[in-house]
Amino acid sequence: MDSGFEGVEIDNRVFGAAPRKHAIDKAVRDAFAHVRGEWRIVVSEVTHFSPPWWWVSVEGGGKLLEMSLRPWEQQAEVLRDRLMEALRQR
Amino acid sequence: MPDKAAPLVLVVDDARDMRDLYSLYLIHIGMRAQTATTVAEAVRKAIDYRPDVIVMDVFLAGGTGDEAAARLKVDERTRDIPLICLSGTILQEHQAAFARQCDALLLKPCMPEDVAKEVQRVLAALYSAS
Repeated sequence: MDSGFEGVEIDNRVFGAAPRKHAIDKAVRDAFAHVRGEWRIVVSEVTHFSPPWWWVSVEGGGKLLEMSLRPWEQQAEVLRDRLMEALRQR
Repeated sequence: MPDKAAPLVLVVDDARDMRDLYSLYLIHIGMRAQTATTVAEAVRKAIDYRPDVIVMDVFLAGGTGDEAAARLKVDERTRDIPLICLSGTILQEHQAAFARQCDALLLKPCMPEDVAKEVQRVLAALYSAS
């Protein structure tokens, strides 16, 4: 769990090597770089699907947002862009 | 391919990724699924397909889950279909108002297995009552 920067807590439950997990954490940090408030982001895997989908929940600002990423969308920049889009729409 | 006797669930959500996630997960565990994006489509598909259960997000394109729930619960063709609502708001008064129109209220975050468990619970209650 990453609580290394103010206001954003990342619970990264994605399986895999450290570089992949670090890339996910960085994507989340980048998406929230200019967002104020307290946020908690969970990135998990739906392992019933093979390959697994990612399931992402964003809690903060009085709202809970969810999104999922299919295997071919599971790239750090796609995650960052999807989070930024969700924050714009909230 | 799911058995035609398998329970049919109508998943209503204007977010394509979550609609796909929930509906594909329900199919994965042996149920059948239809999907809808808007209030109007949800009501139309509920009438056309007569699903065993409806799973609906509170925020929808072309209206809200509250509005869809109200329409489903006053129409005699759909009012007996169990309605499971998903809410991402933490406003207690809104949750309470929405919950009154639903047979079950699930608070986000909801992993697909959480939704599936609630569908199975509602179906079990329905079957035991009939």
